[in-house]
Amino acid sequence: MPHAASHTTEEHHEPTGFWSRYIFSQDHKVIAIQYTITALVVGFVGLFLSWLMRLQLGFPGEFNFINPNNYLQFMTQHGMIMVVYLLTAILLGGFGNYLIPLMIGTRDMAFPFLNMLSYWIYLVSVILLLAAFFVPGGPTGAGWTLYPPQSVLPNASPGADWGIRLLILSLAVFVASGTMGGLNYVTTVLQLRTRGMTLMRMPLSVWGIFIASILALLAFPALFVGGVMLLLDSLFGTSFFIPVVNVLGQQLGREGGNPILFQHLFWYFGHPEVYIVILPAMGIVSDLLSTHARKPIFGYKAMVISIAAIAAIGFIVWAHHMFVSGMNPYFGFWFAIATVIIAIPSAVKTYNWLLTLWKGNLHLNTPMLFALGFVSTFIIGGLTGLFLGNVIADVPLHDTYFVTGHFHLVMGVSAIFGIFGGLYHWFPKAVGRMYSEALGKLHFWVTFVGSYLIFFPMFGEGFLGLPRRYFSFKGIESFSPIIHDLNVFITIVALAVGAAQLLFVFNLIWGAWKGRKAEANPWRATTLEWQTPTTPPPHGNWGAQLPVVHRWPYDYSLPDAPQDYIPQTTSQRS
Amino acid sequence: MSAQTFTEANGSHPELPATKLALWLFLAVATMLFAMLLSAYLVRLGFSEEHALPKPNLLWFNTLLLVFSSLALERASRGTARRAPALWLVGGALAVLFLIGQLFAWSELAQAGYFLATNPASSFFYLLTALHGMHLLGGLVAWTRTASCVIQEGRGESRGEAVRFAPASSTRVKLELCAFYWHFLLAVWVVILILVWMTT
Ligand code: HEM
Ligand SMILES: [Cu+2]
Repeated sequence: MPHAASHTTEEHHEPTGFWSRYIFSQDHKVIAIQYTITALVVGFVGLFLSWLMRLQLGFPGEFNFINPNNYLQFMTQHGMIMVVYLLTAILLGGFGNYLIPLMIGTRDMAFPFLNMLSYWIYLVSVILLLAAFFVPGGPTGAGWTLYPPQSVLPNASPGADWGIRLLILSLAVFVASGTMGGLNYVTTVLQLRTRGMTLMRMPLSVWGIFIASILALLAFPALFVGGVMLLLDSLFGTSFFIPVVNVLGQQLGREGGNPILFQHLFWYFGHPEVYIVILPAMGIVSDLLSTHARKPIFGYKAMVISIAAIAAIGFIVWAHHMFVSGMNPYFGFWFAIATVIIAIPSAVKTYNWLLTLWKGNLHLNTPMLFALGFVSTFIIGGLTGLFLGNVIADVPLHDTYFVTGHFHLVMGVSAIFGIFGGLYHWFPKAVGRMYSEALGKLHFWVTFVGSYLIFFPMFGEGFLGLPRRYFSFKGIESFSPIIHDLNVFITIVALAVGAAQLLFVFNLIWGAWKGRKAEANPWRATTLEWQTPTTPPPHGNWGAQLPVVHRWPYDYSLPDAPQDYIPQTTSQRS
Repeated sequence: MSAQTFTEANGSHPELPATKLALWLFLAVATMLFAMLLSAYLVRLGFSEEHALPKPNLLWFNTLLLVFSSLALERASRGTARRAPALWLVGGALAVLFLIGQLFAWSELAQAGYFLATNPASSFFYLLTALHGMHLLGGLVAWTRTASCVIQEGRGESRGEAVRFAPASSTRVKLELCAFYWHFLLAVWVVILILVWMTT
């Protein structure tokens, strides 16, 4: 009865059955864990695909089941899985769901049912994505950017019939799920903050997720529209993107379509998408650095403004991915300038992290190590972005491994470090037990050193002109004799780093099952989620009374305080 | 719904219902979607000589249906609880008629030999109207769910004297949001129509 409900308080009943409690749950924490596990599972599929690619690149000709066609399919699926179905889903669906209600002090999302629906629709999109491996022709091999015409013309690329259609369908479903989630996250942050939790008292994790959700809401429609038009081109012979094409002397019945139009739509989504991924990771890392360095975050306000600025400018730089596609030189100039400008707020954030660490009392546990790793890879990756933002430097570098190195360090590795750090940090709260620090540190060091060994040499390969998205470099070995050796080296490290991720899986499973019981607030952190009455928090989070907030989230090591941290719930006078 | 039951003592803005905020956000998403599509339309037309499209007169009639549908829902949300159910049903019925009218417009186009893949103008016309129609269908789902509340309250009211819904009652809010969504879709439709008229 929707009419009277608004006046009753405390009316929710804890669901009792197994199904309503763990499967079709509307509890944001359960949904968060469902999102996280699903995303990690698809992530491992993506990792496995990267192994197959590396095997081919390191040992060409040794693995007969890899051919140019399925190499491109592995590459495409790897990229799409990692960017969309792992990083976006885990950061918004996983961390967003877990952290927003707990950190702003509410009992659940604004629309719990919609929230549950969002997860199940995400699962459908994942199933559609993976189904492409089993249809005739297999998944699409057109690259994660799906550029027409080769993505939809028959035989122009692998999976150009059913593969691409399934992928577009899956993306459309993902957009629906992401929109439901985004509406929920934004509404919850704006409407359901507890007493005293002003916007400028929100932890930076919430800020990052909040702004990224707005970006997702505004950027996904471009992908959706581009995808639908591409689908029609594929299924019904329309010419949205397909120009006049002659195949073996025969003219296909297409006319006037413009492939560049698709690139604009794709990157109008694609560039904000990279910030959808990195902003939540930046927020998480800010909180981890402050907590584990026992120091207030440096320049909180500047951090918030930078997040907002990055998001806003992120909508006017998209064509820096298209310098090579050809454009009016004045446009190129504009997009290059905008790209350099967006580096400014990114740099502000980096300085603030470093200044937060300065003279801090660093506790080098696993979450902190990953947060520090993030700062380092983000700096290297970001600096190389500045090369690519220059039209003149980008033209020779665009189709080379330099770009692969850039986006893997700045987006792939950085985001995944933020995610690992966050997972270790909040694991004790979510599960109520501790993971093994020793294993966690081992996991960090192997992954950190390994990531540099894998991706740093790619900058060199790129400078030498080694093209990306190639199945084989036969015939161009003369580029440089070291490239083959480098590729062997990278492949071996990649296999090792991939395998090392099992340490992480084992650590979490073992920790959840056998780990030492966690205290309510093992990191002595200030934010609300550590002040719940029980650990893990119950459905509804707070027991009888909602917490009341009296201060910002970064009161660490205040001079006259009895402890080196003061929870947000402690009133100003005491 | 638990959405409301959880909002006890919170310090933010109870006067703005969460559903209202969520609707605005959704309208921002839908605006982006149609803006992307319409700008793609304008760009794409520039690449083909051929963009003729017959414009069935039926479209004018459909537009009128949608205008009256919007008006009826608006009246329902502002009027008394007693008159609301009838207005609400009329508004919904007009929207259904609009959708049927659009299907007839499609078939007129097809009979004139203009199919989805005939030329860019026809491709975009089918795509735009289909997406617009799907948004309206989604609106009809919300309309149906609201209808039961309206009828229930209307029944209660018809025994007593005719009063307005309490300004903050949840039914009132639902009516307003639904009507607002209708106006948005009307505006989108008018923009589509104008652009198609000007360019083909
Ligand atoms: C300081 C800031 C950055 C600048 C100036 C920058 C600049 C660029 C430029 C110009 C390109 C196009 C290169 C080409 O294709 O030729 C590019 C590619 C890319 N960047 Fe960045 N970037 C920056 C930060 C980031 C961040 C933070 C992320 C992700 C979180 C990211 C993810 C990517 C990805 C995924 C690609 C490659 C897409 C593809 O072609 O498949 N970048 N970047
Ligand atoms: Cu970009």
